[in-house]
Amino acid sequence: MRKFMPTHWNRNRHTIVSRYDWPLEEGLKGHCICVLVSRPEDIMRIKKHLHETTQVNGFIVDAPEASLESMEINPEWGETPVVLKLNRLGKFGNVCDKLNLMKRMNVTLIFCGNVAQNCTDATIVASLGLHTGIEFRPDMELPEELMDLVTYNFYNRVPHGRIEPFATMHEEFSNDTYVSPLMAQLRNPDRYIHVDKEGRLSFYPLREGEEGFDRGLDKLYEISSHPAIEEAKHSWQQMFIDSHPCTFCPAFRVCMGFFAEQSESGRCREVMNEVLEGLEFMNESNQKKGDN
Amino acid sequence: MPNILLTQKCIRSCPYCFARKHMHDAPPEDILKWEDLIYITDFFQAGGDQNLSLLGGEPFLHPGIIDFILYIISRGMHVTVFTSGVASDKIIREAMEKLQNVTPEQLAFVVNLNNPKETPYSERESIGRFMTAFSRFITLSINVYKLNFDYSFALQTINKFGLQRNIRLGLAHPIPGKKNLCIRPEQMRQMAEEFMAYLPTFEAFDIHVGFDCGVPMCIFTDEELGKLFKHTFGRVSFQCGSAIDIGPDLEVWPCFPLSGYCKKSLLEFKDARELEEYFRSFHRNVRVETGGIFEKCDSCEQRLRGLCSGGCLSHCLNKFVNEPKLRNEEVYANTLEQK
Repeated sequence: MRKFMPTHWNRNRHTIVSRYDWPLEEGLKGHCICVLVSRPEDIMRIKKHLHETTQVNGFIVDAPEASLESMEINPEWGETPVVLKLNRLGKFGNVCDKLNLMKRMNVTLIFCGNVAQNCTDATIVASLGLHTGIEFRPDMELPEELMDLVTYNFYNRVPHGRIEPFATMHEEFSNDTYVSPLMAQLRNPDRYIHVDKEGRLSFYPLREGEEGFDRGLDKLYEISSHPAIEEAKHSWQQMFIDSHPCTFCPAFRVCMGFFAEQSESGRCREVMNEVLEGLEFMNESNQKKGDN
Repeated sequence: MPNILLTQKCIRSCPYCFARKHMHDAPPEDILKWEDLIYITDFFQAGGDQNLSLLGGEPFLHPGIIDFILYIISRGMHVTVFTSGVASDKIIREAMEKLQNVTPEQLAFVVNLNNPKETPYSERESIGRFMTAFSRFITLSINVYKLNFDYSFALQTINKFGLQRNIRLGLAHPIPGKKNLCIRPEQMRQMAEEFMAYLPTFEAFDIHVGFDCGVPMCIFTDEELGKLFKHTFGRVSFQCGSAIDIGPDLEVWPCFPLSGYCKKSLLEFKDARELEEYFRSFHRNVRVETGGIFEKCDSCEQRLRGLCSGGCLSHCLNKFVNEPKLRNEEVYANTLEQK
């Protein structure tokens, strides 16, 4: 049977996050990948190019200035997981048909524009049963609409689509784990390795001049046992050693210092405490369901 | 079937308007927000409702009305829009474009029409454009607010624009303690006679009339009831129940004429069943004090059997406006709000 094993088979549990640039194509064979693209048209082109041993976990279309109104949704994507990172939803009447089409597909809408508007957009999309969310940023405003979204996500009794980052946080959260909104943005050392065309390996998208934890596509085949992963997983403990103010906040369990930049204003404490309560409420509800 | 007010602004001033008190008291800048529409839709869909009604004021004054209609349809519910049909050309064009794939099984417009002879020219023109654009969705609604009411304009309008061949006929109801035009209880028999005299004309054009709430059964003779039974395919109803109106600020009340009585916030109710029970209990408590709009309603067998509610509750409440407060507190305006 050995001869039928794929050449590029590997035992990694990590997903490789990368653009699909030609120097990388060979190195990504046999891996589980998340492909970053700037234009939705690239999805079908890349799908045609993919090696049979490469498994695509999803395409992420990064269009932070666009609204769904200006985005073409291709029915040929079918069941392929596609995440559209957009500025906003746009006028509902203009995107209604696209949203109805997306109900039969596997598209997630993540909004990264004005937070208050995005919260409303995410509520609309989630109420239609679609997977959606907003992108958390360390310096983002935390308006009342965000609290409404938290309430809608955790306490609304009518079924709705998953809302990020809360849905991912809920998956990872338990009584003895720490979670962060970053986990919904492919920044989880236990799950994702980012690679760029220069072969730099990191746990987040690198900027110009930054160095990752290692370099070289050949390292990908043993990446899950790389010592940097364990180190990164426990890096939050340094905040306790430094007695960072965030470590005195009860919501640190669900934030891990994500909003450290604005911890002095105190608004993040209120919002993230609400998230913590929501996650605990969900866990209790699930526990009760399990008991019954 | 809950009614959602998109806005509290109206561009008409109908002499019989029974929403006037509410409109007068409400801040006109209030319009329904997306978050609240989603909350309301969730609230009633979870309770099993499959239809939401949008009204105002004039709902077409809300800048997001087309989006809201499409959203509710996307949620798998039917939408009924109660409108005067007075809408700007821009809105009509936008609606025609966006609603082209929507079917009458998903959307209905109920256009409340006044006699064109008593309507300004510009309004008539605008209504005409609306009816031409959306005839397949439109059911006509007329409110009888005086005796010698002329029904012919409804028939002519249906024929002219090819509207649905149904009419929703309502009686103008009083706002307790106020002076809007309405059919008083002692005039109802005459109104019934006039309507029955016109019924064969409607039938000749295959137009079917259905009553809105609050019409008492006893204003028709047994022979007339038989005709109505046949005319409405057995669906004639003489009930007065809670319509459940929801304001843009999520205030709820049982219906416009009763908007001064037991207003609460929708957020105070855990589900649609609790809300319905609250208003049902309000109706029950008023009916304990007086069975219906006529003295004979108290012991009327048809009312006790549930075939008739005893007319509109606003007529009943009107009896208590000027008397000392000796009865159930629900029958006096705003007593619950003051509490």
